Amino acid sequence: MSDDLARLRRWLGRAQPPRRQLLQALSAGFVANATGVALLAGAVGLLVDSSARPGLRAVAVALVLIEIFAFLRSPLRYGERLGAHQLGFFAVSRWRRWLVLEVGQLSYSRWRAYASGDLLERALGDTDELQDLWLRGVIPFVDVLAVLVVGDLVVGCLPAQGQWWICAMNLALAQLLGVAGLCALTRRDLACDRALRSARGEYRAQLVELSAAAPELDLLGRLDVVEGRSALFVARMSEAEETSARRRRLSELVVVASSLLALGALASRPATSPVWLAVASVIALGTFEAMSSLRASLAAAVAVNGGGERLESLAVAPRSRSAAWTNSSLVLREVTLVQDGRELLGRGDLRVEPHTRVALVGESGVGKSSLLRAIVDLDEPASGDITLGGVAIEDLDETELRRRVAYVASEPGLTRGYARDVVALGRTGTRDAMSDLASLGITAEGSTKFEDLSRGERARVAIARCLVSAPEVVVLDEPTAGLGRTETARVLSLLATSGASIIVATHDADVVAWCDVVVELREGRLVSR
Amino acid sequence: MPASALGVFSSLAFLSLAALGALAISDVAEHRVNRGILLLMLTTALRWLVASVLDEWSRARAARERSWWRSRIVFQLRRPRREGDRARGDLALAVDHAAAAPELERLRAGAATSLVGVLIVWRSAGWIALVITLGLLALSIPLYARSGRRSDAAAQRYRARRATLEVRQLEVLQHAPELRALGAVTYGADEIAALSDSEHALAMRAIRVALESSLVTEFLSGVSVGLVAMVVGFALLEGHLSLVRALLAVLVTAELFTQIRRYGVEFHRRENAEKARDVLEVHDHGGPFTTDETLVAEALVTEAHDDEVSLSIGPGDRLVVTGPSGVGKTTLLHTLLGWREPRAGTSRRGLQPVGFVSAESTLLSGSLRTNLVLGADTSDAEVRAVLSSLGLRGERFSDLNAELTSDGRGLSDGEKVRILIARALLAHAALLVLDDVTGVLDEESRSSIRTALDAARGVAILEASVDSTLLTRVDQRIELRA
Repeated sequence: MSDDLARLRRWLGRAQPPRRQLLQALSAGFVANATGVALLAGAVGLLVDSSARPGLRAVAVALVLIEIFAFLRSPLRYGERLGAHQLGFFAVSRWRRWLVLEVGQLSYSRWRAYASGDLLERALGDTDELQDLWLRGVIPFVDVLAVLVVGDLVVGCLPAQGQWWICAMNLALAQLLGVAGLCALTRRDLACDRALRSARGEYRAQLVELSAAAPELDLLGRLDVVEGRSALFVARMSEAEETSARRRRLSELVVVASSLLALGALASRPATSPVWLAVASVIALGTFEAMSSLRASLAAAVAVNGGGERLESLAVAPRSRSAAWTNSSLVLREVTLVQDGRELLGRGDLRVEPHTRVALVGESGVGKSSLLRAIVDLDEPASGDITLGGVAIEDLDETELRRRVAYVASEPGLTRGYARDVVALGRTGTRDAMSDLASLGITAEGSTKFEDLSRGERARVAIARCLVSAPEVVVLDEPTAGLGRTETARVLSLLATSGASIIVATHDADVVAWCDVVVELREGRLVSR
Repeated sequence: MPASALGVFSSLAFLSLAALGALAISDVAEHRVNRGILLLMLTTALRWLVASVLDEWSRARAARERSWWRSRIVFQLRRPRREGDRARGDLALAVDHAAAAPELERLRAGAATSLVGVLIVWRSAGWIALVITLGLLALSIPLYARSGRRSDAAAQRYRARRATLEVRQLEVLQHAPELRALGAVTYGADEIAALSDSEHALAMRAIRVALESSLVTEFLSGVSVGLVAMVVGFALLEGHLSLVRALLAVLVTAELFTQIRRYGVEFHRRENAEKARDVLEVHDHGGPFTTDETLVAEALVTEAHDDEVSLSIGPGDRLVVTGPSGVGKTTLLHTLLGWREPRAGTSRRGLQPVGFVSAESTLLSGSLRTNLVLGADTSDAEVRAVLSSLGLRGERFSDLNAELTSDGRGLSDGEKVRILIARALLAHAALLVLDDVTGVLDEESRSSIRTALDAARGVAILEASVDSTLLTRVDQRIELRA
């Protein structure tokens, strides 16, 4: 429970809500709720009063007050909902930002594990769901509690005659018992919610699996296999749904019990004016609605907690890395790379001096891309050291590292949008990216909108993009795939002007010939040619 | 109990409880305090009882509805998923939405029945209160319709922007390593936050419009309760009205609007439930027809190719469809099997089992035996014989309890294809359809498959292939030209 509370607090913290908006939404909600109770209590009290001692003026004033309440209530409620939505949206933007930052820190292998399932897609849904934390969780919870307290205070303090405070205390006690009961149940609901979520997740996964196999099984006349499997998971899910429905019934019992207790508290009323008695009974009657709202907001918190939990599994512990380096000689010592249990490279050594060009060749699937990713610290090698200027690469300041070491993936993406943004990606640099693009044969203004670039165009945009920060080391993965010979020549001459040392994985003979050193990755060994 | 009947009952029950509440409060006010409090407690308990009966009913009906739709989902899965179809995991969500239908029906009936309340208002507080309530109710209808229309338009604009955001978000997450390598993660995050903010501006507009409709009922209900209270208040002052009737008018008016609002605010659930039904309905045009042949096609034209194809496959026939990649061979096979609608012509197939194997075919997660016999009562000896005839021998295939994953992790494509062929042979398929599997097979597995297929003389085989075929004898060759 404390873990879960801490988690919800973390998410609230990440949202950094603007205080003024929060206060507005909370107060609008509070006033709207309070007005709801006051409207009924006032109307009833008034009727009782006017039946007891007619007096036209007093009644008329009260009636006008009630009308004002009636007119106010709905705009207030409207204001509260809008405010809550606004807060929720504000928070979602922050949470989405958080998600990109976290996923952006993942090592390549962890990222791949998430990307291959539908976890990244689901993460997007989860951030949306977190919105309920404000809308259905925090704001109604706080507001309803406040209304309960104010209602009790009204009962306890406002009547001039009689010792109403004892009655108010009893009322508050009944409500407190209800809140405590609901909170205690929520603790157990969390486990139940987890079970339900996982059953639902399994069913979804099973549907995806079966949808691939079912058409063929149907042809074989064996759709019964699909039915049987689906039924198995449906049964598991229905069981979890049944359990959570049982728990709901239990919490409903708490709601009604505490409402009955609250009404029972009226037994301790002083024998004074019937008006206050009527008002107090309407306020006590309101406990039922209030407890139901509290229950709903706790249920929302439970649901949000599940999504939050899944999202936080994406988070990585930040590593302190601040070392700087002076020269850009890159050294790999006894580096071993392993992927899916297969050793791609065993204790490989490589040294790349500044301003040299190294071609990395080898059959496809041999592990060239993995090696390049390890070199630019997107993935960690199983063992061995990779150093830049004598400093271990994982200790280097990340911003600095990314500025001075550029990397172009094979099949680069993120090439839709305004040319200026696509190339710069928010970085500033000394090079004129637009003229780099032009020298690669892509004429574009900053305001040109790239929509559906061909594979070759994407490859060239990616080259211009990696040079923006004037890097000292450029690491390229099949940069000329999809390019003709003239275009390849253009790419190479542009790279030559950068003066950076270059490591390029390639199958292209022109590129290999352009390099100073050729290294082959074969059967887990790095062999110079 | 049908949903609408329960709606009527619940509405009447809540109205009666409102009346009981009025009685209780008047008791309290008229110094029959203990009876009043007991009545209030009774009202609360009854209210809870009715609410929980309704809740139980909704839950049970939703559960029944869900299990019905869930069992129907299986039929949705009979055809392969086409590009642009919804993700199959979404079907699970659609079921949840569709299951709300009975509850919505109940709420609708409840809202309609609560109009009876105006009669109570009239009887207890006179015609002025009646006119106020009716007038405000009538006012709410055009206001509702108007905000419904506006909310649709706003929601459409919002959805378009939302789609942009979703696509971009996913793009950024799916290229996160690249973004990181360029030192542009923060930029990507900021871009998403900015897009998200602009999406929210539109969303707020849509929500504002949607909230207006609930604002309308809340406002009208507040005004109505207030006005009725005022009317009966003055009537009380003048001594025309007893307290209990005055209270009855006020509480019933409040209850009346509550029921209408309860249905009104379910706008989104109504919309979702309708959409979900569309998604879940299976439009299946008949099953396989019985013919004397295994498969017959007459002047069949597919979506992908303009030529007419006619063929007739009987027991043991061997046919091959050839043509360059992308010409529409797979579409032809899918149309022949009834997975896709033809543009013209017909195809029929018999009731015998048909095995379909392509390089993209998947296994089931479970044991090797499960994958091969699919729960049928086949002896291990028979299974092993088929496996070894396809060259699946050795340690890895001797343990029939070995667990497999659906994507065939740990198996080569050639092994996976052979397991699927074995599955079809063990299911005594009358026809085996092979969709371009030669490309993923090495020479050794090709030859073992050839031998096995030659031995299965009674099985008709239809193969689509770019060039080389697994068949040693071809009865009919269909060539699709680019």
